[in-house]
Amino acid sequence: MKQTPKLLSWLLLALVGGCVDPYRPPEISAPNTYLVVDGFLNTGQGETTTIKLSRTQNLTDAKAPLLETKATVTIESDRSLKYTLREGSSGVYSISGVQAQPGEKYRLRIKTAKGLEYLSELVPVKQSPPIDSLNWKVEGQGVRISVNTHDNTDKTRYYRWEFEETWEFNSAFYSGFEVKNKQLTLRQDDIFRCWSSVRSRPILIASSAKLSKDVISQNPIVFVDGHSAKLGIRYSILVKQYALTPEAHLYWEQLSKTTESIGTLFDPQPSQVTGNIQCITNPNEPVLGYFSAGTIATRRLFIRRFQLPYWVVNTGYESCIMDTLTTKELIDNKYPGQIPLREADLLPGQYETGDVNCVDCRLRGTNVKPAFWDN
Amino acid sequence: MAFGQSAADKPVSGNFTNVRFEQFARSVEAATSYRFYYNPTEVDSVIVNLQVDRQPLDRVLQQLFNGTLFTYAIDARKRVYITINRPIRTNLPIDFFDRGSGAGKDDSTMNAYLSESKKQIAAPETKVYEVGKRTNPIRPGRSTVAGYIRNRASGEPIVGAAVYIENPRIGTTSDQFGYYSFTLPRGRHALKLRSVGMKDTQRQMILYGDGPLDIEMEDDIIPLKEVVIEAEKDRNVSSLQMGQDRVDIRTMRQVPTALGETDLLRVVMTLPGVKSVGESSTGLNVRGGATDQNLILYNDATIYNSSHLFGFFSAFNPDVIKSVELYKSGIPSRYGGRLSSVLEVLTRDGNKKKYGGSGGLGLLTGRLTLEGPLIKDKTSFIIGGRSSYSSWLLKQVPVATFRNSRASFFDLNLHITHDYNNKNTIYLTGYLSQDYFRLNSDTAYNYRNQNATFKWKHVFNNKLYSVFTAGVSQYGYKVSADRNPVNAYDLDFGINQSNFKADFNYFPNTKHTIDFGVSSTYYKLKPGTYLPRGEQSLVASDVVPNEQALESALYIGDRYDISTRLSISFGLRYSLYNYLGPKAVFTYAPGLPVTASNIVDTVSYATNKVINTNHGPEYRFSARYALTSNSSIKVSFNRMRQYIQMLSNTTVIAPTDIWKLSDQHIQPQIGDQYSLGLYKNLKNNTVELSVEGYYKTMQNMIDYRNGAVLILNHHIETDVVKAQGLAYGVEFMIKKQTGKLNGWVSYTYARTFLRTVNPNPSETINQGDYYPSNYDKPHDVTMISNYRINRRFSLSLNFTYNTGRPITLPLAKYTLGEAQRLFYSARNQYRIPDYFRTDFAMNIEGNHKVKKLAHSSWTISIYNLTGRRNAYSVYFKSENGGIRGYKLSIFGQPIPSVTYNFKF
Repeated sequence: MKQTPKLLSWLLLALVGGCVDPYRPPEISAPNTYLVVDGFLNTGQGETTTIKLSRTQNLTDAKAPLLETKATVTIESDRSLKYTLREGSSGVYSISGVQAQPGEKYRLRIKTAKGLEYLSELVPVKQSPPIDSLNWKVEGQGVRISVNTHDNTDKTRYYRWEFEETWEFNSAFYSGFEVKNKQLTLRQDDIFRCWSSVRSRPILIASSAKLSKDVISQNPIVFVDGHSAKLGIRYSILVKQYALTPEAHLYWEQLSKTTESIGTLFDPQPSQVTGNIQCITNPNEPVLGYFSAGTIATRRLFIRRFQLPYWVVNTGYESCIMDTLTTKELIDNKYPGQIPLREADLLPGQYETGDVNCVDCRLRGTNVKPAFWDN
Repeated sequence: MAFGQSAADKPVSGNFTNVRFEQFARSVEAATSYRFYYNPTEVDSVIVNLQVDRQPLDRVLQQLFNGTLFTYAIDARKRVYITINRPIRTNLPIDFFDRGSGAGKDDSTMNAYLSESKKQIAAPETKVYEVGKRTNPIRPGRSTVAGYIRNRASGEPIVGAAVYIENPRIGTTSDQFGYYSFTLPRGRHALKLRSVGMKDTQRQMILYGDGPLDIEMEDDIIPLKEVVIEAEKDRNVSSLQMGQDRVDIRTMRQVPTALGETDLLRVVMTLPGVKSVGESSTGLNVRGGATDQNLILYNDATIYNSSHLFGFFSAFNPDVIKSVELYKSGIPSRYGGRLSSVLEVLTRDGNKKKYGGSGGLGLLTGRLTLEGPLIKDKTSFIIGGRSSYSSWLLKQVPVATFRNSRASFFDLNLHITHDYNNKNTIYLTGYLSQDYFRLNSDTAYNYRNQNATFKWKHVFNNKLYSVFTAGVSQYGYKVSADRNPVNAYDLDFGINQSNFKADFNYFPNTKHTIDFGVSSTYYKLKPGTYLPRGEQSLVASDVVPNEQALESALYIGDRYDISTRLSISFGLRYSLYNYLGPKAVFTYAPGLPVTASNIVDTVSYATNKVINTNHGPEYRFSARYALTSNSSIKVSFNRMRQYIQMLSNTTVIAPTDIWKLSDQHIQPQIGDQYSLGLYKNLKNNTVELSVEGYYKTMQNMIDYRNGAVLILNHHIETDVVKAQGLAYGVEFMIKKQTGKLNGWVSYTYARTFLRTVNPNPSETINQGDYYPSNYDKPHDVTMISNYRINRRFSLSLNFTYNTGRPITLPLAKYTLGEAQRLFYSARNQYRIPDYFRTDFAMNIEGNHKVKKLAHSSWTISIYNLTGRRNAYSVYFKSENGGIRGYKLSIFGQPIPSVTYNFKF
């Protein structure tokens, strides 16, 4: 009878997911390095156009995406004007001051270092109407930020937004001292007050196509959790508005449905999304990304802490505690990561300290005040 | 015939015209010293028409009774005895008074006489039955005999038994109630009967007029002697129906299955033209149709999910099943509502004569069925239960993954038949099946089928009978997660269907068989409720409003036998569909794609208010032309309409299906199928060859849109696209049903494609080109073989090969707009690995004493003998910054199993 459990587990191994094998058909494990084009021809006055070129990676590849360097990137108009972009940091190509002529269409041509040539469709220049207002409203335990815009000529109809959030925050403890060259000195730079920024990930699109007027009213941009550190002191959001062609709108809509989320019950069904760029050298090679042109309308909003209801803020510094060390211990760096804050009140020659993660706000942002931060 | 030969002295004379027998006897008694002894009620129908001139009485009686059931005997004292069937013995056997032990055994006369009581079992075959009111002489013309064909031992009806006469060669078959109606020339006939697994029999019949004749057939106890099963052997060639397969439970039992238990659907899947998407999925794809295009009827109740335990088992308990019939083409007009096929599962009626039971024990399941009469020969019941003990087994495994997993199911069947009288029979069927599983994750799945039907069969007369059916079918599933109390949820889905129908069968003459009727089905769908589970759950509830609809149909069909070579069948069904309130219906901006962002209005409809109506005719036609006596050619065309469709979530381990009623945005599916078949039987009908080709178009099929979200979608029309389907294929089959080695080999080449027709790019898949549908598997080879070594041992070996099904693969990942995205291939551009499996089984029967307490048998089987790791599902998961693909093979090794079956 000793064999019975063994037999059973063997049977059940077969029954209950026992045979899960890695599935790596040649289609997947092949080096699928297709060109990814991320960029936009910005025809706004004095604006810079940036096109980022990268390569797709194998599914199992956990490294950062490979960038496409040393390519020749040009933007052509249907009137044969040519603008060549310059590669700044690797894979990022840019040019400033492309002035769009009314009714002119543009396309993107890329010639890679390996000699493959890619060409986008001709796209019209879509002028984004200004953002009428950006407003916020307390909704439950957080803040909803929405955008309003309209186009009197009823021509825009399709919109896309991107945003960048910036917020001011403080580290857990203010540090007035630092150890420099084996000496305890007064700290020169402020590592208590910092700013952190994050760019939008979700694809935000809307259309007024079904409306009689080209009006976008209260289109939600983002919901900020009231307990988040973003609302701890002062919060700011910059919203960029793009006008889209119907084709571009469809592209972004479909792309929004393919994310890295996969394999659970509520995930969207798989779909292939390719943009408006083709490989001329090898028409069967897929190219990802969508090239469009136009201007961007922007608007910034600030929210201060005192404008909001009382919410307990999860700063992320909750577990921070102070310690007390001697000058010698600090200079000798006996306890690495401990940073002096101030002299201990009743213990001369000793300093209150805190862990670098609790003291140095630069680990979570920058202490350089952004230019738009007005105080 | 007569024993008394001594009475030859006194001759009889007279002129008897239309004289009753009593009168005749009296006049003979008056003229001679003979005295007649008879039962007046027995002879009251005997009319004497004789001219006798001085003939011995012996010869006169011989003349009179020749060809009837009456016999006579004249003893030494001139007493005449008239009896039915057996003559009276007028003298005792020799040595009757002084015989010792064993004496008299040489007396053949006595032995013959005594043994005649035994022979009486066979008497129905020699007995002459009179049908209709006796007339003399028999009127010329035709009359109809009708009745039930039943199993002699159990009283259960026999389906598909052939009833025919040799000259002229005409015949009919019994229907699903075992009822037959046969119109033939009046007069004396030998009515022959054949049926699978039953002994061939015949009835001597004198047909005077319309009348009933119930016939009992005996089980063919095959293993005892080589009996060639002749029944329906030439059905392949002679039947009008094409694209139809009937499998009875005997054949099913011979096919080895994964866990030893006879599996109806698995056998159906071995038939040509039938495919399944996954390894263990019991979803059928018939001739390029989707899994939702099959009407699965279990005693007329619709079964929405026909599988147990991810499809390891089919939802039908083998002990209560009688037969299954699959219609792939030439679908009769009495069926409707699904595009591809009709799978009709019939249960047994239960033994009407005595109590009995059967059951079995396998590695994962146990089952028990009891049956017997409630009122002898009138009312019978059969009740069957089946349950798995897999959850209990899982708990015993000392590995946490298994210990935390659960997988179990049960099903219950109840069927009651009551013969109220000759004209009225009532049938009651109840069915319940439930499944539960959780595979070491926090998500538990639970689904349930519940059905009840009530059927009343009423015979108006020999030529017309009706069946009234009322039933309810319910199907629902529930997905719940409770490991993390904060996100614990319950997700519910349900279909509720009530239906009523009236079917009439009319047999005006031998050339026509007409059926007509009406039916109506009311659907109520609960498309999804998502609710928090437990008090701590913060899940926001989301309820997709119910949907309801009414589907009604009228139909008429006629089978017309133009000549012995040519017969045709045609039918028309007209279906009417109403999508009903209460419902808030979205309207979309005209000219813009149907997307959530283009919703312009919401219109509310009150309860039972018609939101949308759809209707249309469905044509059915088939014809057979016999080329020779053992070959024929058949053609058929049918149009079907379907008002309820299913969408499957294809990217997860455990698929959750969404059923959707047609509405103002999703039009009903319409399918047309043309098929052509050639059939030839060889070697005295023992080998069947068939080739069938088909071409099928389907309109308004739905496929999900790129990036569709199916679950809890309040406006599923924004996530599906309308597609045109195209399927074609050719099916070859060689079948040998008799002999020591039997079985079949089939090869199917079949393609099935979809194409989106909407000009709107957001509603287009693969640029509007044809793309393979999810179940496009071009090549399929199946071999089922059974070799009987002797009466008690038989071996089975099966092979299945098919092309892997199409899949949409994620090919690469990339970063765009700050987020990681996946790049997928075009829809269904790749295929999962091909499927190949070999199974082996050995059946060992107990001894073959006909009468013993219990009959038992053992089935030892090895499923997937070669241990090939066929893919059950392919899925992808995000892990450690990468995305990995996995192939889950459920039967990745050879699976041995032992099942013990018993019957008492």
